[in-house]
Order: sequence, then structure tokens, then C-alpha cells
Amino acid sequence: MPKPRPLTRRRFIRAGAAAAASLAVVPRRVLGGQGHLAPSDTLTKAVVGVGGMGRGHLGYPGAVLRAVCDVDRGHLAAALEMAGPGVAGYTDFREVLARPDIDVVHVATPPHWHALISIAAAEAGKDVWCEKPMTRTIAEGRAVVEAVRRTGRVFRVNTWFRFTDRFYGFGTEVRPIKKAVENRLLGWPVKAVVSAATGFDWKFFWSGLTHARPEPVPPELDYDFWLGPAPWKPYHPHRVHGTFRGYWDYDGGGLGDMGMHYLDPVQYILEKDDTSPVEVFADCPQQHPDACGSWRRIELRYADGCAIVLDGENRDTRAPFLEGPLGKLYRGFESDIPGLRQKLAGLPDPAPQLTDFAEAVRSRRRFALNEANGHRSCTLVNLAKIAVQLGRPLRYDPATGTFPGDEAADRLANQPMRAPWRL
Amino acid sequence: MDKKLAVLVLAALAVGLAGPALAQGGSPAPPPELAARVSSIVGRFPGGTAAATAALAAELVALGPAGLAGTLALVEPPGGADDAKARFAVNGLAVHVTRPGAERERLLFVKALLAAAAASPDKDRASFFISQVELAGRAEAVKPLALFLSDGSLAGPAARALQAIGGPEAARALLAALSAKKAPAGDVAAVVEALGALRSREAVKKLIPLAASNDEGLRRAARAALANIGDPAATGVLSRVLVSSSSGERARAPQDLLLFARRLVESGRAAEGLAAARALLASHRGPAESQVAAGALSLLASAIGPEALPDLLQAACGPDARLRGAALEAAAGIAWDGAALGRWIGRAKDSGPETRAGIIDMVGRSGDPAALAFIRESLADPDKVVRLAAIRSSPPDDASLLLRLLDTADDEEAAALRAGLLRFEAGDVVPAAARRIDTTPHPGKAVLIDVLGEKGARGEIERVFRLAADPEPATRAAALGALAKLAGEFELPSLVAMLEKAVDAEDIVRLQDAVIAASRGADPGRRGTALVGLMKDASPARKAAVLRVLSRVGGERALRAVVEETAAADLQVQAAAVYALSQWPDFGAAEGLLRVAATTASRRYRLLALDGYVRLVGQSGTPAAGKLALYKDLLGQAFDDADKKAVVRGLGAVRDPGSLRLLAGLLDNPALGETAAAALLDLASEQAPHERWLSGPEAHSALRRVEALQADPAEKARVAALVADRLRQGGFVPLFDGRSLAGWKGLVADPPARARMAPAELAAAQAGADERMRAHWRVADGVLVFDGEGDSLCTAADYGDFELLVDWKIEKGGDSGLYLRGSPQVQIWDAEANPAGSGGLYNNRKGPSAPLEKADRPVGEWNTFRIVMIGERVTVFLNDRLVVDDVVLENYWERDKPIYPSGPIELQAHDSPLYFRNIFIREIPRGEAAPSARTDPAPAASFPGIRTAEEHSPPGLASEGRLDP
Repeated sequence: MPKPRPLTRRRFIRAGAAAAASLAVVPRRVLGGQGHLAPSDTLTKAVVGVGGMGRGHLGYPGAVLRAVCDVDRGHLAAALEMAGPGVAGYTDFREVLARPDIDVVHVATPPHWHALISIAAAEAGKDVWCEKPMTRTIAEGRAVVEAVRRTGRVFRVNTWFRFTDRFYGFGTEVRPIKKAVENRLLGWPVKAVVSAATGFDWKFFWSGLTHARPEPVPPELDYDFWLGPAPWKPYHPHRVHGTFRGYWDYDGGGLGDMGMHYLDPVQYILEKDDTSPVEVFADCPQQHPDACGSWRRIELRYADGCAIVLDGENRDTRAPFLEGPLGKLYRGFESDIPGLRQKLAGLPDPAPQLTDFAEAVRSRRRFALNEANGHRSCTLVNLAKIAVQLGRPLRYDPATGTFPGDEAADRLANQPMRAPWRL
Repeated sequence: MDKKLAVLVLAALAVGLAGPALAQGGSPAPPPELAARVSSIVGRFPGGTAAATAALAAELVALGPAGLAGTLALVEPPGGADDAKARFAVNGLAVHVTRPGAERERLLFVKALLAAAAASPDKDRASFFISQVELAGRAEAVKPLALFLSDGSLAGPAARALQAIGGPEAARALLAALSAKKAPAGDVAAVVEALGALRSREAVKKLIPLAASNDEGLRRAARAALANIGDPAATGVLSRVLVSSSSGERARAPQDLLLFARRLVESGRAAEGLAAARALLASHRGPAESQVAAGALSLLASAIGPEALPDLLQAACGPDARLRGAALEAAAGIAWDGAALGRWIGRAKDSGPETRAGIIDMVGRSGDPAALAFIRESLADPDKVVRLAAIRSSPPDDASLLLRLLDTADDEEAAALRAGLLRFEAGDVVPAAARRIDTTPHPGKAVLIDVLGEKGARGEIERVFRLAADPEPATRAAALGALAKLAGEFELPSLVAMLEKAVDAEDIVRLQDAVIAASRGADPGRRGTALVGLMKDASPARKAAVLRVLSRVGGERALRAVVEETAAADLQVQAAAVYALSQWPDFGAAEGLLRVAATTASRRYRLLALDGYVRLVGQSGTPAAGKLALYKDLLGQAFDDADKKAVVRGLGAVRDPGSLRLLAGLLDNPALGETAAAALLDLASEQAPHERWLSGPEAHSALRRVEALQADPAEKARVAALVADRLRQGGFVPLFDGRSLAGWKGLVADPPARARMAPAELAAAQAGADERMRAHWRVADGVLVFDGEGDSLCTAADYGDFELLVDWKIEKGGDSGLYLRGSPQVQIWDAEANPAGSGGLYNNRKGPSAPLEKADRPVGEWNTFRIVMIGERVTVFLNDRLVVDDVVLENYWERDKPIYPSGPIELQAHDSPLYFRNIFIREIPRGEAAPSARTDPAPAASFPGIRTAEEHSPPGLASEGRLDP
């Protein structure tokens, strides 16, 4: 075979054969664009997907908004009005990515678009701030990790409880919990229960309609683009916008909505940022093939004996949030370990994390919740979804990302996309 | 031969199924007993548990191929009858047969799916079957799936299913489709995409020409596929892009090439892959293309590891921050030996501060002694960026190194040092930190004080108390913060004494936090006891200071003290007590709050108490019905309207039909109506699947009244959209889109006459009727307007059993009506001229034809019909009043026959201008409804396992959807 042709920057166009003419891969600089990393106070951003969630991103600090994008012209108009002057509107995210003057792309579309837009943004040289859940399937998550690494970009998921704020209804921040576990005050392995009793109520109103008569697509919405990689299905207003979470094609009900918020800190506390569970079990009613329903209990077990229990019915109203061989930790940091707080104070704190995204972008260091650990915590959500859809115990191989002996589970973890979209 | 037919026949042959009888949807009709058996099993889906689902699926499997086909036959096209159970059953089967060890069952089911897909004239239905093959199919499905690849709307789903199945057979089938025919580019792209995903080397020859196709989408799909396959033959085509290509395509090309290079390396052609990577690295040096150079570097790093040192060093020390970061990230994944680390460190020393900092971060992860020495040395670097990197990379082994830096630290460095110091055990950092406090300037001093607090240095508490009285505010702030972490009950008297005397607002807040933290340490049973003890015989100022924090401490003893002091003689104490009670965190305060509300003479206290009470009831675990009773009770008491508003607002959070009813009843109240309307909108702003009552008549009527109350058109539109959402969730669909006549047609003759017409004759007549329709019916401001001169307006679709909502308006002397199933009629006329009123079944001869009462609004105002028709019987509500109660609608056109089973709904033209709006219909599946239409609740999609409404509220309320007469 011939050696690969050396790539030169000189154009060579064969005269008289414009259609067949070719040129060597042209560096983007030649095509225009400044591209220098912006000085600290002028990072610029675009928000793709400006429905209710995305419009919240417009005002996030750290970067100046330059562009918004949505396939619904109504959303776009509302966002442009909110954004004020100097912000351009787009209906095709690819045009946003082609702009050389944008540093960070916020992805706030429904989840079935997260992976594709994140990957395209990274390949266009942008850093990415992606809404939760990070991706809709495990394979999409692996592809995002690969693309962010390959392109050397900075990526974050839009959940934050592992490094700031009171951890939902638990009552304290995550840091002292992490410290207690890291210093083995509860012993090892540790089991976590995520339920109303421990401060985490699961929402089940994200349910789809199991029968809806198709309706005409409103003129302001590009429904085909909205669907994008998802299978084509007749339009109904309940499929899109405020209610899409109720459909497997786009998300995964309450798991998709709250899963990463609740589970990402648990994964961090259990020291599982580099791995995934090996067994998953779900107790739930049968699921409709299109519409997400409810579930009663989901258990995710790791190879070392750590486990996460999602108690959707709050059956154990006295459950500890964490339980190890040496003790239990309840909501509000109550514990059966005498003098826990005092004991804890003298011990080493967890390693500091980089929690300012703009700083991560400027210094090119990994953000606290990045593509790698974000993919792992989103895998918890996606594993739970598959267990709920199949209703049978699953074995999972965290290294290969496959379910040995369960081809159907593998197929749910890696779903082909509707052309022309592909991972 | 028609293409669709070709697919159908071929597919049927391919799976060895050729039934002569084709039922609806083209599936072979199972014998009646079997159909009944299937339908009874399907009716029991969805299973409440995995075991129940498996048992149901097993019952269906046991019926054999005919049973499976019968199950699939129950799936309807979208827009058809409610087939949710059938779809549950099909997916339940797909899941069931893919369990390990069920190969024979799986094979049978996949065959049935493929046959049903091939035989289905409706493509969405076929697509659903193929999606289940995507889940359950294997080799057996490859050939039948390939037949769909030439079908415009099924090629995509079939290609995806083949991709999911995978293997050489699937790839060959896809390749054959690529070779065979000229299909639209979109379908070819789907096939190309699948071939790429399956990495079919056999496809490379076919794909190379497509990479130069005139269609951009196809070109890009082919390039991506060739890159992923990684066959060297594609080197040429992937190394170039067409001049005519789009900018997006050109930006994408190097990424394809990177993937291609990686695939070459993986398949043992390392030299070629790495050469391509190096070429990309060399040709993409600009700052706007660092993502390409980064990809080349990451490939080099993963392929040759330490040997990539020169490439990585060069990039890590270059001018572009993004590429530097990428190089260091790639380098961090490599296990460097001592010599290599030496080169990194050497280069760091010769580089600018950013690079130096980056290399420190990278080598810091190695834990190598040489790296640690370099990090220690860098703590004294003149550049802050470097010092910060060194601080965060320093292991927690010698606190003095970090403590020294605090002397000169600015805020940023102090924060980094604080984080570093907290990584130490208390014993290794506290004594030294304490020693340095007096000599260290801010912000370092504050860090040291904070470290004492964080590390629980109780032994240093005297020192911290001293610092808490320091004249310097920053010192006081840090010390008070530390006291909140260190102080316990023993220190409470001192803290309270300080709190009582404090004047600085920030000091007060910090002292309150410290008092609360010190009180919380006690065991829950005694919580607050010590603090309350300090109020005994205390001055009013001290009492007030303590009361201000008690609500955040909680506990029974504290609550008793607060309640007691609400009757205090001193006004300062009393105000603090009432406020504390109103903020109380748990339901224990409810009784005290009610007493204050009932007895106080102060308006302000009463409002505080009621607000607090409503909040506590709202957040309590009391069932909805209980909350409702408590609120109702409050509304019945002699509070003034301003007070009651708090209660009304609280009702908006009680998710129960009773609170809907209560709020609806308040809408006309002059003082509370506006608050009630807002509360109703709160209540209806979202709907859980079990909350059917939010789609029911009462909710609809109340929300429409709220809509009418809105003055701002934007608000009115928002409420209208909310009403539509609730109706949709209850299974209603809009018949009128507010914009056009879509979904409507002109009237042609009458049902018997139409039935006699030949298709062509009917089509011609329809075209004429549609033209007349457009001349006389129009849309203005979301209202359907009739000019008084043409014919009736008919729905495009026919309806059998249904619930219909429609608003109508007439002018003086106006006359109209609603035809149901193409038959007259629910009467509309000027009720001044016709005192019986509207809504009667005017053309009935045997049954009643007049309405039960006159419920019309004055001519010129809007009226609302809710019409339920089930079987032959009709029930009509006019403006929420029952005017026709389950009466048989007689057949006007053919008097000897019962009413037709289905037909269009018509808005009758009768020579006068008419106005209609808000037209919604809910189709009721035959056989679902109870004999009486009136009590039929609006069903919503419901899911097993979700708590039902009945669990939230007493049975009488939740399940009842009817209006009070």
C-alpha cells in the first residue's frame, strides 16, 4: 500500500474538474478565526437548547453570552429577548459551532442530543458545559469521554452537589460525608440508600402517555431536527418540551431528571469515579416500550461489595443514608457512631477539587465533575434505566461497558441513531 | 408491481408465513376462540412485577405462532384506538424471549414480528415491530430485514436493527442493499452508517466512490464509515476533501482522519497510523485547530507511550494554552521513568510560568521523589501561578512548608493553602498553626483561625474566644466562625452573653450561628434545654436574643419556652417569640400558632401566625384530605380577608380534588378571588398521571373561569395553554387549532345520501363543499366564525363514543346546533325567543327533546357545552348545568333505525352568524365506559405502581369526576 500522502497546506485544484477536485485538509485557521484563548474576563459562550432549562443557562456566570440556538423558534425568540443585544440566534447548532469566537458551548437540549452536540462542540474546539443526564445511553457516554480526551477539551456536567451546596434533603454538604467515608469511620464496604427517608424523593410524574393521537407539528418547531438521532415517531405535544422526560427515546423519567443530582455525589463518596457496578436489579411494574413509568426499588452493586439502593417507595422510612460495618450515617448527619463530628474534625480532609469552570477552562485543568466521572455517574442512571426496562437482574462489566450474556441489555446500552446522525 | 406489495409478498415468503386470510393490519386472522384468548391475556398487561409480566408473556408464547401473530394484530397505527396494552404485551414478549435460554421462543417471536411488519400497510406500526426486532432479533432476522432496506420509510429502522444485530451476515445484507439499487440518498446514508458501525471491510470498495458523492450527507456518512472501518485503501480519499465541500465538512475531515489513523494503529499498521498522526500534528499548529493537534498527540501517547516524549514536550511548552493542556493531559496517562521525568522538570525550569505550573500538576500525579523535590522547590517560585500548582500538588507531609507561605499569601493563595492544610491530621497542623496566629497577617491569619475550627481544636478554644473580641473585623469573623465549630453547651453562657451585647450586624449573625451550633451538639431529647435555661430571670434583651435563635435550634423544651413568651409582657420579647414560633421547623408549633392567631390583638402577629401555620400544615405528612379539613376550618373562622389569603395560597399546594372545589368556590369572592385564581393555577400547573381529576369537568370549568378573569392577553393565553395541557393529559385532543380549518371539511348531503354516492361522485361533491366551507367559515383571533350564509362544518374524522367540549356564541335570533355522528342535533338557539333554552335533543320524537332547564347565558356571551355520547345515549351539560341526562339520540335520517355507530361532528349552519372556540374531543374506547355517561371520569394515561389518587384522599372525592348539580 502507498504511504499516506503527506498533508500540505497548499491547495491543489485540478483544472477543469471542479466537482472532483480536492484539496488537502485545510487547517481551520486558514478558514478564518482568531482562536486565541480569550483573556480571563472575556470567555464567551453559546447556549444550545433554550427551553426552560436552557434559558436558565443564559445567566450562568463565567462567560459572556454570544449565541443561542433552538429548533423551536418560540424558544429562540424568548431566549433572544432575555439575552438582550449582542446575542445571535440560530436554529442549527452546527452554525453555532462554526463560529470561531465562542469558547464554551452549553448543551441544554433534551438528553437524546447531549452526546452528539457535546462531541461536535469538542471537535470544533469548544469546551462544553452539558446538562444532566450527561448522555442517554452508556455507549454515548463512552463516545463523549473519548471525544473530550481526543480533542483535549474541558467538560463539565451541570450538577454540583459533589462539591457545593447542601446535598438535597440530606441536610449537609457532601464534603463531611466524603470525609467520614474516606477516613473509614463507617468501615468498608459501604451501602447507600437514596430515598425520601435519606433526603432524596424520587419524582414519578415524568411519565409518558401510553396512547396519544398524533397532532400537527406547530409551525414554529422543526420536529425532525428536534428528534434528531431518535427514531421517528408521530408528533404529539407531550413528547416534546416540558414533558419529554416521560419517553425512553429522549430521557428516562424521574431517573433521568434527578438521577445524576442524587447519584453523582454517592459515587464520589463511595470512591467509584473510575468504575461502575457489576450487578443491577430493579423491582418495578412492566414498562411501556415508549413511555417511562414508575419503579419501586433499584439496587446497584459494585465488585467490592459497595452498593447503592434506590428506594422509590420509601419503604424503609428509617433507612440510614450510608451503612458500613462500623456504623451508620442518617439524614442530617445523625449517626450511631458516638461523637462522630468530633472524631471527624481531626482527620484529613478530602482532596480539594477544581470547582470554578471558567478557571478550569483558562488553566486547562479537569473540572471536579468532568467527562470521566460524569460518564460513570450517568452510567448509574443508564444502568438503572435498562434494568427497569428489562425487569431482570443484570450483570455488567465496567471495563468493557457490556452485559455478559444479555444481548438485549447490550442493545439498550448502545442504540443505533437515526441517519444522518451517528456517534 | 407496486413496491409496497413487493416487499409484503417477499417478506411473507422469506419467513415462511403465508396465511390466506388477512385481518386488519394485514396479519392473518386467528380463529375466534384464539383471538378471544389472546385479547383476554393482553388485557391483563402490563404486569405489576417482572414475574407477573413473564407469566403473561409465557401464556402468550404458549399459544404458539398464531397467538403471537394475534397479539401483534392488536397493535394499532398511531391515532387508532388505544392499543397501550397491546404495545405493553409486545414489548413484554420481546423482553421475555431475550432472557437467557429461550432461543426457541425468541425465534418464534422474531418471525412473528417480521411477518407483521411486512404485512402492515401502516409504516409507523411496521416501524414499531422492527424496533422490537432491533431488541430481540439475531441472525434469523437479517434476510427479512434486508427486504425493508428498499422501503423509503422503513429503510432507516431496518438498517438500525441490522446494525444492532451485527455480524458479517448483517454487514453483507447491508452491502447488498448498497449495491442493488438507486434509493433516496437519505436511506443510503442509513445503510452506509450501519456499515461503518459494523466496520465492514467488504464494504470499503463500495464506500470509496460514495465519499466523493454529490450529496453532502452521503459523502460525510461514507467518510465517517471509511474512517471507522480503518482499511488502508481509504487513505487517499480520507486525506483530501472536495473543494466544493462545506465548511462543516472540512472541519470534520481531520477528525475522520484521526479516527482512521487510530484504526490503522489498532490493526497493526502502526507506522502508517502514526505517520498520519504526525502529519496532522504538523499541519494543525494554529490556535483554532488545537483540537486536531490534541487528537494526534493523544494517539501518539496511547500508541507509543514514553516514546512520544519529544512530541509531548514540544506541545506542552508551546504558545497555545489549549494544546499545552491537551499535551499534559495525554502525558499524565503515561508512566514516565526517572530520566523522562528529569527531562520534564528540566524543561519546566526553562519555561514560562503557565507551562511550569502545568508540568507541576502533571508530574505531581506521579508521586516520584524527584517530582516531589521539584514541587517543594516550586513553593518558593516567584510566580504565583506556579506556587498555586505547587501548593495543590504538595502531599500532606510537612505543614510548616505551607504555613510559612501564609505570611505573604493573598486571598487566592491563602484559599489554596487552607485547602492544603486541611489535608493534614489535626495533630500535624494545629499546634504549629496556633503558634503562628499572632504573627501572621491577614488573610493568612484568618486561615489559621479557621484551621483551628475545622480541625476541632477544642484545646485552643480560649485563644479563639480571645480572638473573637479582637478589634479587627476579619479576625473576629474568623474566630466567630471557628467558635461555631468548636463550641459546645459548656460555652453557651459565654456565647449568649456576647450575643446579647453584640452590635455589629455581621457579628450578630455569626454569633447566632455559633449559639445554634453549640446547642445542636446536645442529644436531640435535651436539645435547647441549656439555651432555654439561660432565659430564666434574664433581662428582656437577653431573652429576645435567645428567642431569635430558638426556632433554628428546635426541640420540645425550646418550643414550650417560645409559646410561653408569646404572652410576655415585654413587647420586644413577645415580638421575638411570635416570630420564632412562626418560623418553627416542625408541626409541634401548630397549636401555639393557632392560639396566637385566635387571641392576638395585633394584625401583624395574626398574619405571622397564620402564615406559619399554613406553612407547617403544608409541609407536614398529613394526608391531603386532612390538610384540606384544617384549611377549611380556618376559612370558616372569623379572620379577615387579608388573613384568609394565606390559607387560600396554602390550598394551592394541596393536591386533592377537594381543594380544587374549595378554590373554585372562592373565585367569585371579591376579596379572595384573585388569590384563589393564582392558587388554582399553582394546583394545575403540573399533573401526575394519577391526578385524573385535573383533567375532569370541575377542573376544566374552574380553569376556564380563571382564564376569563385574566385581563392581560398574554396571561389569558398562558392559562388557555394550561387548560389545553390538562385536557390533553386527560386524553382530549383539540379539534380546532385556533389558526386554520385544518381537520374540518364541508358538508356533503346527509349520511344516507353520502352512503349511496360512488367514490368519485363523493370526492367531487366534497371538493365543492370544501370550497363553500372556505367561503363562509373563517378563523379570527382564535375563533371559528361562520358568516351565516353557507353550509354546516364537519370534522374530517368520524367519531363513535366520545366526550366533546365546545364553546359557542350566537347573535340575537341566532340558531345552530351540534350534529353528533352526522345526525341532528344538540340544539343551540336564542333562549330569549325560545325560553326552553339550548342543549336539548331537538329532533327526538320518542324521548325527551327539551333541555331539563334553561342554562343559556345572554345572547352575545360565550356558552360551553360538555357533551358525552356513549352508544346511543347522550348527556349534555350547558355551562356546567345538566340539561340532557343520558337520553337516546334518535335517528333523524332513517327513523326506523338506531343512531349510526359513528360519524362526523357537525357545527350546524342555520342562516345566522356563529362563533365557536376551544373545541376538544376525547374518544372513549367502546366497551370501556359504564352505562351511564355522567359519572365517567376522564381517564388519563395510568401506570401501575404509581400511588393512586385514592391513597391521597378519601375515596368519595378522588374517584368522582361529576359536577355537583
